[in-house]
Amino acid sequence: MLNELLLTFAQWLDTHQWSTDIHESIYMYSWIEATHVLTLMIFLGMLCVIDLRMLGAIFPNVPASKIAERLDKPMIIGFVVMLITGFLLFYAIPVRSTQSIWFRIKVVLLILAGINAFMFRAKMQASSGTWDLDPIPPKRIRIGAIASLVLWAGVVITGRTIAYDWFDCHKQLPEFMYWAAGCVNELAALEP
Amino acid sequence: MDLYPFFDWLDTSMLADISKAYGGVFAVVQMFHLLGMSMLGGMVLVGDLRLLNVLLKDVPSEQVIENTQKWFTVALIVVMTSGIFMSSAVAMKLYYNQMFWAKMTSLALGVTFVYAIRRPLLKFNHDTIDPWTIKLLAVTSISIWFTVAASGRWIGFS
Amino acid sequence: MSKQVILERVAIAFSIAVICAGIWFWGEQIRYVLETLALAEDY
Repeated sequence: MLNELLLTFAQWLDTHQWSTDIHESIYMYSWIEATHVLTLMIFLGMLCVIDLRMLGAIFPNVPASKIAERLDKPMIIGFVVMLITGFLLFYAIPVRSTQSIWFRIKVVLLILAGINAFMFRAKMQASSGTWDLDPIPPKRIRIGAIASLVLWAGVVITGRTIAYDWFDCHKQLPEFMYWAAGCVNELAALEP
Repeated sequence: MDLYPFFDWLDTSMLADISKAYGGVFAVVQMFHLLGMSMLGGMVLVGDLRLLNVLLKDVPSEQVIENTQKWFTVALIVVMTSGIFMSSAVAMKLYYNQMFWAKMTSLALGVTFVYAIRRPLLKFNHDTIDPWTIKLLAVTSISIWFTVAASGRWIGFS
Repeated sequence: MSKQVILERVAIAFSIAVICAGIWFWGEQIRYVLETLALAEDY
């Protein structure tokens, strides 16, 4: 049901002239994609410094909350750029992205990373000041930092693999994969 | 200096056997390349934006530079190791690719700049260095590493 | 001349050279892009 709904939405986006324009442009698509990838250095770079501090691996003599506060703004700027360019990339190739198992995992990981970030922020605020200068922060903070690094690395990895056609709908795949990737027509063809 | 023999060797090396035969292995290595790039970018930006007085203004810049340098080296090793593996898959194509050479040139300039100029100079007390020289260092550093990353992405498009 | 002064001068010379080269390089790329787009217009 959800699969059909998503596909209908993607097909509707696909009818937009702008979607086709970006897709068929000589340079526009590549530039959006390059901006998306290069902004990783801002967004993930800042996140990396913050999380390494939460693991006690960098800036041991600067309060952890200070690092988190000061690097927050550039990180958010990077995130917004990635979000906008990421949406445009999806908008340019909506149907294939919707039916990509990698894109689907990526969205799930993004949501998990978002939840983790909110929980992390709450934990930080609840305990602010009590461990700010500890060379190695408390365990719950370190676990949050590891989770953040792993989840975002997962987002990058699945983002990269969208480009591979290993599990595209037109391939011969197990029924479960057709379902997970949302290959509506291929699933229907399997029906007896 | 012609590096053709090196690329010719790389193209038929064991590395190339692996990277050409298994698309999955190539993809995994490329992910490390991207993650290393993110870390490298983070360290460069935090260090240079501090030198430009944009970020972490109340932390001594000596401290920011010292802390980011260590992880910069880690990131550089990750990026270069994964990069060599990736290039083995398309060694001959890269040899004739102009963007690849632009990237290698800027990488060589970047490594020279970091380890022979930026790092030794910033070991001195930053108050004794002309503030404009420091800002120039930061702009150069950001420009070089941006070029390395951007021309790298362009290899894939060309 | 102290080591610091030498390094500072090398840094300035290197930086100016690299930034000029960078402007030239990216300028060339932009020129190439504009030319391609102009060609595409003709079709």
